[in-house]
Amino acid sequence: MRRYEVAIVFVLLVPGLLGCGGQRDQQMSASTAYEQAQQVLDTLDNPQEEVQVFEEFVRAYPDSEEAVDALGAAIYLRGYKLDDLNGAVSFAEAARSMASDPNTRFEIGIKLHEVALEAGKVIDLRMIADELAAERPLNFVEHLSVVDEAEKSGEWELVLEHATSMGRFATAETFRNDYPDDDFSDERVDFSVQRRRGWASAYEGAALIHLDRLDEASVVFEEAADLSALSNYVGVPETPLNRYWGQAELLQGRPARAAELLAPDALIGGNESAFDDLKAAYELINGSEEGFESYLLTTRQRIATVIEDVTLGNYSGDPVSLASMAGKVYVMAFWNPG
Amino acid sequence: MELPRLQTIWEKHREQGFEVIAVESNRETVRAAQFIEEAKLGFTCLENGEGDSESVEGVFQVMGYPTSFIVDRDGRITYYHLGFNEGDEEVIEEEVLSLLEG
Repeated sequence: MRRYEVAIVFVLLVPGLLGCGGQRDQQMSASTAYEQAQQVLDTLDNPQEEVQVFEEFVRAYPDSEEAVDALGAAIYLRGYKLDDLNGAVSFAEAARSMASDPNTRFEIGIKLHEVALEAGKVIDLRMIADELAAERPLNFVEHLSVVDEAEKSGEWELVLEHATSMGRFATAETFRNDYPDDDFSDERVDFSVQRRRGWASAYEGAALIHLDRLDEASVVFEEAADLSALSNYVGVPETPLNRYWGQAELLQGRPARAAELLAPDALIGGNESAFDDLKAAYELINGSEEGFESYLLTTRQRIATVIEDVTLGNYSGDPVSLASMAGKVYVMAFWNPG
Repeated sequence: MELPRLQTIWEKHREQGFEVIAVESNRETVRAAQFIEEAKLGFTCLENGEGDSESVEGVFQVMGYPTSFIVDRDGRITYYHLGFNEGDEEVIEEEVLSLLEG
């Protein structure tokens, strides 16, 4: 009961703070108010109360940067924790109409599209993207957000348009311009530019597959072949390039090449669609799914990275080496208290 | 949060030779120790090294948190996952079980 009262006090407090000043003060107090909201949230432990705090914040500061974050939390709580997806969609729609800043309206629009799709509703994604584009050109991350959402709703023409635009941001100059305050090494910039090219080519190719322009898709993938090896420590690709390329190879009747491209995403990265395509490739090669289980096991052993030995300290100050785990199955969990 | 879920899985399968190693990346020693205490984590908790011993990003190229690896009896990383959503713990447990039984 007491906790609930704290929430109510906060809910009443927010509009009060809003009344204190003009536009500039509103932005300044938005971050202060959001910090206070976080403190209130620390004392709450049920989604019913938590969602009220987030929604009230969005109503009070609809144009603040924090509103987008708060809306995300409100959608999660109302839509998934309280199982009210329609309510989450209505609130996101209201939040978008309350906001007047084009950047905020775009960010909210992306979240709205995402939750609406979960609720089985259609939101005009093109309109959301075009509204921002009328103000200023979209940046790489914004194009990627549109592509990501358009992929989910199967709007492949829209994916193609924005993926093509993404490709234009894959230069060292553009990357450095996007992060003017950072002093990245040439190596880091080069890696990031390659990754941007990988994302752009992956989605351009994926869109072409779905638009039944398979030959053009293959050209896009072949031209990006040098990016195919771009992977992390455990061998999982940094971009979706190989997974879409594998799909194209499968559709064009080249299952062996498809399987090679798909295996790391499917087996180490745990990607479900890559796994389904890998299985289809296996069946095409072998005529049935017989032996698939043992194929998975041997392929995984073949492509997996062997972890190297490091020694780190525990909280008593004693060194612990990974070599001491030999013969055991273990989860290595990297975290921080955030 | 992922670590308390891993604690549950660890308690269920540790007798079969299953371990968890949590590595805190930022060396936020006090906050990390508080969390470990409050969540009653019983498995091995380590701190990232400094300088040349910095391992999380330097050696394992971790790009975001939480990131998990599942390592088999021969030291092979057979599963990788970035981020944590409800239900991911079931996938992790399934993978771990298949390795313990395999």
